[in-house]
Amino acid sequence: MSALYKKIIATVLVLAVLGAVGAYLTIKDDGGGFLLSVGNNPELPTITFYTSGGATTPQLPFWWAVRHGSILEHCNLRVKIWKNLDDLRGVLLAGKGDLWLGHTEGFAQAALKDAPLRMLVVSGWRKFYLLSTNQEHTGFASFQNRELAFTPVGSPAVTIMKAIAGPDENNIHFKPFEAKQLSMLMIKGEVDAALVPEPLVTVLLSKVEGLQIIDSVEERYGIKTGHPSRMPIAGLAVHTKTAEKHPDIIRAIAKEMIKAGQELQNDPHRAINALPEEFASFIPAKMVKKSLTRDIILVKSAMDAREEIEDYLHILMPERKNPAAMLLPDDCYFQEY
Amino acid sequence: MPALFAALICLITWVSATFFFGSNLVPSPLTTLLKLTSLIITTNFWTEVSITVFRGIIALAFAVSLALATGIIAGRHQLVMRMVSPLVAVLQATPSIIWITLLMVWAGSGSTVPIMVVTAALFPPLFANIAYSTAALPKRLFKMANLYQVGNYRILKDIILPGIFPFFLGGFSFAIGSCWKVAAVAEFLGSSRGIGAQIYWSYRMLDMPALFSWALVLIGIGVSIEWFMVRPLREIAGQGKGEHA
Repeated sequence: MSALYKKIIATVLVLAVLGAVGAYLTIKDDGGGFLLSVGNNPELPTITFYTSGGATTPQLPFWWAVRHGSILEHCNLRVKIWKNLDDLRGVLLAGKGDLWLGHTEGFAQAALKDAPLRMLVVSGWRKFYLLSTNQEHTGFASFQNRELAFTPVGSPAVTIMKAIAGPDENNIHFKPFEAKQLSMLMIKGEVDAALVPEPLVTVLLSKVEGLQIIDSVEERYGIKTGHPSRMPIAGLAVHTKTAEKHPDIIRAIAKEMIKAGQELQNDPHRAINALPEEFASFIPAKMVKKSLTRDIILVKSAMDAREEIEDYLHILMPERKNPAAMLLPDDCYFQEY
Repeated sequence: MPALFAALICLITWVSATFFFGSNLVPSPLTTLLKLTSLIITTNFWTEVSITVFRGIIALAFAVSLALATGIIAGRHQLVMRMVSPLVAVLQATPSIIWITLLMVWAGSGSTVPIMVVTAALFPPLFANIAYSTAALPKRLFKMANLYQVGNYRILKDIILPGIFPFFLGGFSFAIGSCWKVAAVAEFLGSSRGIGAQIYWSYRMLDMPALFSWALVLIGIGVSIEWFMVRPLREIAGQGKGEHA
């Protein structure tokens, strides 16, 4: 056998072994890969939960409820991570998984495109802050006719601010950045102000000397709309088929989360240890702890928060603005609490 | 010797970039090597590599099977060739990003996106390669086979496949060299597993040593396949063409 054939056969063998392992892994975990599995009772159904490694407050009550509540008496959990909002959108539209942590706006957009989902709970309410190292910056008005960096790309904070801006702040040139890219620029002092979400706010406050919070989008939103200083930014949605097949499980998850929210309201720091350690690679526990000083833990069923959700969505999705009509129909909400 | 020279040039460029841009943006070769070593000893590393390899192999198998089935028919029948060629041209002109975007909406993230995207990217050149090499086979062979009432299976086995083999090898070597690159792009955008997805996570976390390490892994796979598979295949294909000539 010539050396040429020997080389080819050796390469084919290596690729075949790797490919066989890859095939096994792909078939075993349905191609997506689980970050972790919680509960292993063969008699219980398994719920696939898509979440984000970077989310803190919105998922803390969930993990507290998993650890201290009765969720695992109803189901096993397989946890997958979505990479970014585009990834989440694809997952929702394709109807992959049973339970999703995500942004209310993303859920609404997907639901209006016939994605099989029902909003379950709202658990993320405060997130976006304007930070600056420049003493002359006093608020959003300081950036009138100027550039203001923001992250993540597609942040709802920008749409909200554009919608509620007063006359002295209605011409801000918002410039998008990836989170880590913006962090590096701010740490190096090349960007002195930015509109960023938690927990990045906490990370930056601890790393950038002289950085201060100079405004809050939720405060501004509250003043403008007459609602409390919060926005129904994020929460959980459930796959329509899962909601129909296992309403008792979904009801239990919602109830346990609402209960967890009440338990944690006065001492949210207790929940930090409930976050699985797999999330530490995305955000360290000490950062989650610090971010909680500015955040609130509150879980409301999507139905109870419907009015706030509708007001919020009417601002974020102005093309569908029709104050007389509900933006999301009844069947976009889980109603069997 | 040429490989050593190329490696030296890469190393000098890399060290210079570290010096000029800083190790935060361009980690040094040593830092990257240490990170790569720490990755290689983990199970997770081999999991991600094997998932990408599996996706590449499956997509390659799909593309080759489809190209053989359609290419041989198109090469044998002018009418089919005229009918199918515009469709293949459209497929060839469609950028991978379109497939990735559509598949992310239709199928969500996972293995479907990279497998289908690689299949769509590899099929057109393989089809053209097989169809045109089939069409170029001497017509007298087929006339003789008809005259002696040789069955279609034997025509395929004894005339078409041996005849197109050297040309097919050329196309196949191109396809196997390309599939990892396309798979990585599709994984970067449309999957949470595989080498491309790891590059994405490294980028999101701004973990530059990990990003450079995964890039090295991808380049390493490409170079290994080029040296140990593609070049030998091309040499064999060249020898085959010589024999036919």
